[in-house]
Amino acid sequence: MAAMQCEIFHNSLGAWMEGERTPEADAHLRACSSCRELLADLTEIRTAGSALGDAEPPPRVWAAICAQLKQENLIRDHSWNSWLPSFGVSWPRPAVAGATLAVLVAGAFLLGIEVRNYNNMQLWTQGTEADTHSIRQNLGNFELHEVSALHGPNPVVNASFQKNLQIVDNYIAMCEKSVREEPDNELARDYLYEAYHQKADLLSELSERGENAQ
Amino acid sequence: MIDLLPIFKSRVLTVTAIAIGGLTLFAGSSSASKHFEKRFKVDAHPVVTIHNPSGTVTVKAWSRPEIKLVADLQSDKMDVDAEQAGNRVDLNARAISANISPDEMRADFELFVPEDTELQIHDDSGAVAVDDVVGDMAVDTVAAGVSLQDAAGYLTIRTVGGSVQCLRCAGKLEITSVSGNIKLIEMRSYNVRAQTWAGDMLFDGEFLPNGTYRLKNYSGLIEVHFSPADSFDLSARSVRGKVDNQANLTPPPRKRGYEPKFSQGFVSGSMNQGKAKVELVSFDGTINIHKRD
Amino acid sequence: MSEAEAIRRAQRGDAAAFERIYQLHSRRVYSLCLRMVSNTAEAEDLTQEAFLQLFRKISSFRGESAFSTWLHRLAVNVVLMKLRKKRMPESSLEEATEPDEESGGPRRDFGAHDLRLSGSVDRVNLQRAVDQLPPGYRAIFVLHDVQGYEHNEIADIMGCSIGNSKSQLHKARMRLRELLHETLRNQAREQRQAVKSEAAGEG
Repeated sequence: MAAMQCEIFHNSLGAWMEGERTPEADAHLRACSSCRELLADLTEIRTAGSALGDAEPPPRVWAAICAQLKQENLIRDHSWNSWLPSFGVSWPRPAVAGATLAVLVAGAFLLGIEVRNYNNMQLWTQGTEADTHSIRQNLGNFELHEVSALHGPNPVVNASFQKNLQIVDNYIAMCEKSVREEPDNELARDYLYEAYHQKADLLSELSERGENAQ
Repeated sequence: MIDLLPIFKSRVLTVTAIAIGGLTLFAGSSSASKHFEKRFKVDAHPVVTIHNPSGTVTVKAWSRPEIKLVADLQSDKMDVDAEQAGNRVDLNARAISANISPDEMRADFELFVPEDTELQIHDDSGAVAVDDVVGDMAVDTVAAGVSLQDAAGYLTIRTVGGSVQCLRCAGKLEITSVSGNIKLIEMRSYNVRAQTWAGDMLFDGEFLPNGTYRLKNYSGLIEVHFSPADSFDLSARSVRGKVDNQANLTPPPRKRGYEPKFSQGFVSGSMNQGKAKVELVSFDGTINIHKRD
Repeated sequence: MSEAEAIRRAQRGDAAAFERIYQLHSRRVYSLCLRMVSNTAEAEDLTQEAFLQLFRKISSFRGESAFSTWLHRLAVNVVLMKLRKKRMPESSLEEATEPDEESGGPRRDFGAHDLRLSGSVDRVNLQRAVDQLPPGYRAIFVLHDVQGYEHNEIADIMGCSIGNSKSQLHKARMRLRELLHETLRNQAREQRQAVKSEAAGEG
């Protein structure tokens, strides 16, 4: 009989902890040390949970969000050429390339937006080379690590990733060439940074799959 | 006209063909296939998430306040987790054996849902088809093609290589793909943002007043159809390709200092007071703005 | 800028308004994500995705629910979708009730006197145990016990009934208790073995 009473008490313990108490439950709790220990444990868990506390996201999270909002034109800029190269449609996903890589790409894109002011063209040209080189290097390093995820269990998926990575690599090469030949070409620069972003997204997807496979 | 891939033909035919093809392909499979059915009672605006690594996902709206799942698994090495927490249903096809071949991974889902269901679908390879659902939707595939018909809401579609077709869809639409083609037919959306790097794009639908329609690719064809009564403000630009425009546009006032440099093809202007905004951008491809037949 | 004003201005694309909304809610959203996935890089990505979805959809917010509820509903959906994509390591009840290796005796009952949790639940053990909860249980535990949401708010966020929220929370706590007891047993066993090895080495 005692075991049944414990089972019934266990079923009502959730409500009991929310303050919904009955005389029968109170009586059982007074009489049963095992259920008192169970209650003590659950109370301890509740208390420990509340002590886990909040955490502040690092500044790079907002930086990445901001860059994405500008890229998607969700932030209205009323200057006359605002609809021009800041046109890009981006993945609905976040910058899933990992925070550092995402901010690198986002930062380079922001630089591209800022240097629509032709007075800064020289600064832009110098800045572009440095940023482009840095991005290419990071993407290359990232890619080396993720090649293993191209051998997942679904050959259709593997083939699609391989093919589309190659497509994006080709576009990156063509865009880099365009930007080198016509540094003033804002659209070429936008396409280039979008291509980097696209590659980062594909690599990040592969990275997630690689983790899941382990 | 765009030379369309087979997936852009009849949707029923396409999904059936894939299913038949699948049956043929797996006829010789030695693992026992599994059939799974489950129903979930739900209130208004339920949320359904579907995660399927390989196979078809077909979703249709019905009038019952419940969700019905019919799943066919190619082998007994796959299982379906179907969990409900209140008004949310999570469906997940997963391998239960480490030793599983790609053929054995296939799971085909058919769902019947209330029309205001919010859908989140992830399907790596196979095909996704959604009919008559007007809740928000997020579809994410690698190689699977996506077909939406009479859908509405905030629709987000992302594929790597899969092609996308939307027929008579309304609301806000965002589509991105690396190499998939994008075809938007008889559209009634007020906000369309679509981008593919290597695929072709076709838009044939209404340009709603104050609507925004942005299509972008790197190479390939962008084609937009219009009627003489449509009202839109157009900008079409291709850096290396050409723009073929049949619309009778009033050019914009010349803005000091603005030159469409570095664009081999460029057209801008408005038609019938320019109430909608249409922006078409390509790097290497051709942009056609053609009168509807 | 008040939240209501920020929402109105954000619906018109005001950059400062977006930032204000982020300032008001990022800590709670990030904490939710962090407690759910226990990985700072993933939590950052998920936080970013939640806010981007929010900002893309903000023009459709009509005030049918509290803005924070709407945002947290988005965030929970984003996290749960992410967890669904990953293969979840789930501990089974059977694993937690195997016979004790040393004594070969019958299964221990939970709550045995020498393994009470009181005072033994530290942040690390608790977070590890939370990581092993199924996603639905995890979400409700984090929302209620960690973040302090009431059941009516959780019902709004998760799209479930208040009764459902209460019963899921109780199941989550019971599961955590099993997992924490298993951890304590393993730690106690390791300590005993360490003492035995030390004694054998000295002998």
